[in-house]
Amino acid sequence: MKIFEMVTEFFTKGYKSNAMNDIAQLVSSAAGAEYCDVLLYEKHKDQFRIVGTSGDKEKIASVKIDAKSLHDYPNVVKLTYQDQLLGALILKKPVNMDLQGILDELSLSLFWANRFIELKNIAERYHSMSELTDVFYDSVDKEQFNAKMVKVIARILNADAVIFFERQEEEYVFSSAFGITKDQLLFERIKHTHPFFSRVEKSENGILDVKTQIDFVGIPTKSCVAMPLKLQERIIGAVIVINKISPEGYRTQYSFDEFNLAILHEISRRVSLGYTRLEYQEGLKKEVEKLRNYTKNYQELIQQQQLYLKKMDLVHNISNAMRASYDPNNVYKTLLLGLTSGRGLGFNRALLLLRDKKTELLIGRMWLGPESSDNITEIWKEAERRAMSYGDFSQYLREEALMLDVNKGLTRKIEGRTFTYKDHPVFERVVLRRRLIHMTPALAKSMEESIRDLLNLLEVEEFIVVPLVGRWDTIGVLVLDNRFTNTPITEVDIEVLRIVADSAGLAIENAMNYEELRRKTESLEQQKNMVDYLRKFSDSILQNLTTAVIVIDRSGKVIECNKRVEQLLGLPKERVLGSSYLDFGDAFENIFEVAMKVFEKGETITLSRYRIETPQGERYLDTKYSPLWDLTGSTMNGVIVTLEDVTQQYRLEQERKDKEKLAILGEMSARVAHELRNPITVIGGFLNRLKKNISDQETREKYLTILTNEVENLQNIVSEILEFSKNIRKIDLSKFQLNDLVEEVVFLMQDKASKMGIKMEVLLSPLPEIEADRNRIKRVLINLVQNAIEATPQNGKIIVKTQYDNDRVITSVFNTGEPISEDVMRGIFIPFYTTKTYGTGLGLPICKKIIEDEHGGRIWAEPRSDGTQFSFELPVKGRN
Amino acid sequence: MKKVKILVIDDEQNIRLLISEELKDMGYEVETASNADEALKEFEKTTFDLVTIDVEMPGKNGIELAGILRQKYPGLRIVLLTAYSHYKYDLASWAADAYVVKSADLTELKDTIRKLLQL
Repeated sequence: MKIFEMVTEFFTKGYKSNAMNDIAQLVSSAAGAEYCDVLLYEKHKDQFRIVGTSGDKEKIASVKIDAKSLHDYPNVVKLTYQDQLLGALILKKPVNMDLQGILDELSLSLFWANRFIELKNIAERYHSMSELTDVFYDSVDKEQFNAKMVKVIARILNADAVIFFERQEEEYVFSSAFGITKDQLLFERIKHTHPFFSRVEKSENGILDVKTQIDFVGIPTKSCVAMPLKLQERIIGAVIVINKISPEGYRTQYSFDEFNLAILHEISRRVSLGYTRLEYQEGLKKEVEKLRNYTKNYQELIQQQQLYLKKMDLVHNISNAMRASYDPNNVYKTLLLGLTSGRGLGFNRALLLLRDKKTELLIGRMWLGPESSDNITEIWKEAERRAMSYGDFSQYLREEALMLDVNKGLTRKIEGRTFTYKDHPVFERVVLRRRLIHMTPALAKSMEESIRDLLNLLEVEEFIVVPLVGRWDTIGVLVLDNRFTNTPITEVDIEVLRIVADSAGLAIENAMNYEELRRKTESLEQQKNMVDYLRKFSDSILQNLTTAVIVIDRSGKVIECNKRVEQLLGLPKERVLGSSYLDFGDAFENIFEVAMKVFEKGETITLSRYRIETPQGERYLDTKYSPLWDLTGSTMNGVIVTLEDVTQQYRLEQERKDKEKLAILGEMSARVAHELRNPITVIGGFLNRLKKNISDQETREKYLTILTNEVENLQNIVSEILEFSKNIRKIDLSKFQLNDLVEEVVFLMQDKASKMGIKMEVLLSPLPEIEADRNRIKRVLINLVQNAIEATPQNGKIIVKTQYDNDRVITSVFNTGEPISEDVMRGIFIPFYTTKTYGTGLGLPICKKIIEDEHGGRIWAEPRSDGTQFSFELPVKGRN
Repeated sequence: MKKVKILVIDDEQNIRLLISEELKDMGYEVETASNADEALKEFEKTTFDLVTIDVEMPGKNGIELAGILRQKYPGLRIVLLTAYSHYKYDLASWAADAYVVKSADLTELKDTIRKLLQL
């Protein structure tokens, strides 16, 4: 075997090979020495190590000789090539030292074998690198990638262990490892500020540590290389490679070196690429996955939508059918039919409970569905056939509901059944919180005891309870199940039921309200009839009034009138309504012009005994014009004119007045007769006596005096009567001072009063001159004083007083006689109403005539507590 | 024989005079009064068989007086005199025994009195 081949074998196989011993034997033989040791130079330790010997094999690998002390050995030969120290030979007792040929060959061989091994290693490692690339392609996710990565790195770098920490936020978290287990790590999560990782991060090309112990790794570390793993400048983790294992064959060193670090650097770059690819791939995969899901979801959605739409269409039909009826009973039937029909929502059974708010109960109302599973297929088939015979589902529901007799079968089971919904685990939620509850078998089992009532009634473990919500509140509850088919209740069912429940609630409430409305309307109709009756009644009153009623608006048009108007105007009502008042002839024009004045003033006007000329002759009308206000009382819409034909009354009144006049005349005549009869009786009587006693002088004279007085008396009476019955005579006006006249009269009467023992007092105020007939006023004064004297008892008093007040002169005569009674007071100015002995009973009536009729003054009497006072007032300026 | 006593009541002095003179001529004892109060005073002095009363008098009128006298003196004959030919009250029906319309011819009055006193 050639020396080169032997060296190569050693380098490849290491100490297992005997090649170096053979070389030692060869050299030893050539030199004729006892033995020969072959040493190789270990540059990094600057020492030599025995790798082969022809002597004691114990020395191999274990004996190291420091480079400096090599010269202490005798017969040492250094092996060099191109000034590079490669190794040495130690010979024991050589005979021949002429070994140049072998030495040259050995040196050359060592040099090249060394090179060869190095190159081979490099080739191997680059081969491994390509393996790494395969790893990237094979890996589908990071986890797998990481696991493979550490394995490959360990092989490439001949490492004991490789750990990969992933950088997560502020920490390095253990990700994967090879050659070391998780348990052998002291920490799985380490702060990025940890000195080791900090160093790794800062280093560009990684770190190389020899003879160090990494503090978080639980195995002894002789050397290590570590490298940050970057992805576009972002650190995503760190690879730590620990302890180089002795490879096969001879190596000069067994810890990591710069070369290893460079390899790791190279690896890390590739890993980064792989990572990028992986991330990209993962992203892509996710996108694809997403798209796939989208498509799937979309398709599902479309399917659901189709189903939903189909069911919604049913809901629409059910709602329509429900709204077509106003009878609550029909609405319930329609709803339950819609829910159970195979053409509808297809539930096996539908139960309706209505809520009674007062008693807080749910009351069983209706339950639709087969009673048992007997003949169920036929029953459904028959129902399906009937349903399909209608083109329109809604129409089917309407007609079927009308024919459906629900008061049998299941309904009988729940008729009158009540459920308290308060504190009921299901019904309370449904009724009060308006929740829809889907009872599943599992749920039913868990609350079995508390809903025993429901389970017993339904005999089924899956059902759904739906609130029927009206405008404001829950009005009832639906319970639906698939007792016979056991078909599960789906999400779509629930969704659709929500909508059915809403519209059904409203429809039921509508029907209920309608029912109430109908009842109210009935009573309203009755009321309306009453109102009609009252309206007709009042209209008939208006029409039958004896008074003509006519309403005219601002333009003078007639807007309402009654029958009486026809008679009055001589026109039919149709001609009157809408006509202007100007069309009714001159006679009425004036009347209606008054009505127009009411529009201006807004006040009621009354005109009595209004005379008009009509073709039928003269008529007398009592008329009244009242404003017709609108309801607010702010606008006058018209004037109500009432015309009452009082012609008859007027004539009767006139007749009565004439009669009264005659009566007064009769009374007057009687009084006149009475006044005349006394003197006539006296005159006649004494004339008779005179005849008998004509011879007696004294008697004759006495009788003649009486006769003369009585004739004079008669004369006075006649002249007074004449005076009174005469019309107002021409008065002789002059200006004079009334006070003077008063004094004159009092003086004239003084004697008469004194004779009766009556005191006369005069109280005069300054007066302006008045314009009047002096003689006539004097007569009044005399009359009043005369009356006063006659009425005053002895020692009585008379006060005559004058006053001036507001252009009027007032004269009063007071006497202390008995106050005259009210009764007498009333008749005192009536002719011949006398109570006194003397006079004709015409005195005061004549005074009244003088003062009031002739002078435009006033005369009156007033009783006082202590007597009676007569007063008269005269205008200063005379009669106007 | 006791003389018949008559009271003539009238506010007119000349009428009183006329009637009393006529009745005295007939042989009766006659007193006069000018009003109801005077008449009642006369009744306190003496008794009368008959009274003639003028209806129209100031103060209590003749009808009132007749009522009072009828109550007080049931046997008294009462003749009412009136100026009216017709009277609104049915006088004969209650207080008075007769009523006579005043006239210049006193024959009716005298006949009535005579008849009443014969009863």
